[in-house]
Amino acid sequence: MGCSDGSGPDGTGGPSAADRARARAARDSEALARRYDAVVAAHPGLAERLRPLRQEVVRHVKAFGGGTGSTAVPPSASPSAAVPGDEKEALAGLAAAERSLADRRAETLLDVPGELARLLASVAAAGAAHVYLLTEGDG
Amino acid sequence: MSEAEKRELDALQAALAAEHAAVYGYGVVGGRIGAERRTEAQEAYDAHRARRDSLVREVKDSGGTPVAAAAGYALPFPVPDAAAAVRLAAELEDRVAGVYSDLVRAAGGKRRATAAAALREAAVRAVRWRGGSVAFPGLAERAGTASASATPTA
Repeated sequence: MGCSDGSGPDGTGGPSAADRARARAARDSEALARRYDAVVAAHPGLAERLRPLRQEVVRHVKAFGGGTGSTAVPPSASPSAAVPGDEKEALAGLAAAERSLADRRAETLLDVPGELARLLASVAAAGAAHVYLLTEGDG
Repeated sequence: MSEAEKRELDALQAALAAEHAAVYGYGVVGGRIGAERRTEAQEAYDAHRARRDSLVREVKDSGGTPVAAAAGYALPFPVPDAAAAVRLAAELEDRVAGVYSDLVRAAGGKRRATAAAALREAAVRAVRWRGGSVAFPGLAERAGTASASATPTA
């Protein structure tokens, strides 16, 4: 469901579907944290507002087993999309990234064991809450 | 009934009990909340009533007898004014988020998807009330502090 890498049967010695979903989730949150970094680098005035949200994203990386250094990609190795020069547009871009990731996780959690599904659901909910915080005041 | 089915029914009943408590709690919130946030409180109240009603159906569909609302609930703290009403609303959402995360774990398929959506809505409402987010909505074991909740007194 929404999964493009068609998980084959397990027990072949490779990582399980759950392990792959967990690793993917860690990478996705790492990439999201880098987007926060890019926005803060371009708009230092947003640093204070974004700091607590980024800290939560980093906690998500760790909860999915990432951030140990082995899988972490240095910021320079992954040129992120250019950050808009307008603060409001930069926040909107972050919100869109948070929303699409939360939506993707809502699909992924249907195909993994219960405990990982529970974690994915919580992190997706946190992402939706971030969308609200990134866009409040726009209405 | 298999162990898995029993766990799922237990999780459904826990979610229903939490929604009963939330509906009661929002009644209190509505009586104390400031005029500027009354619409928000009303929308949350309506949302929890709708979730409660669908959970009643889910429990019945699973062969259970839906838990009833308690006659009264002890609030986690006194709610004398609008500020306390906002704090209570956030607490109610935290509590609801917790039971839905458990339902995500216990259920599969459409029911799991619905529980995840309910968890997401509760987390967003909690943030709206509180003004700040938490890293792991609904996961008490990862929270810095345990969340108090409305508990039945009868």
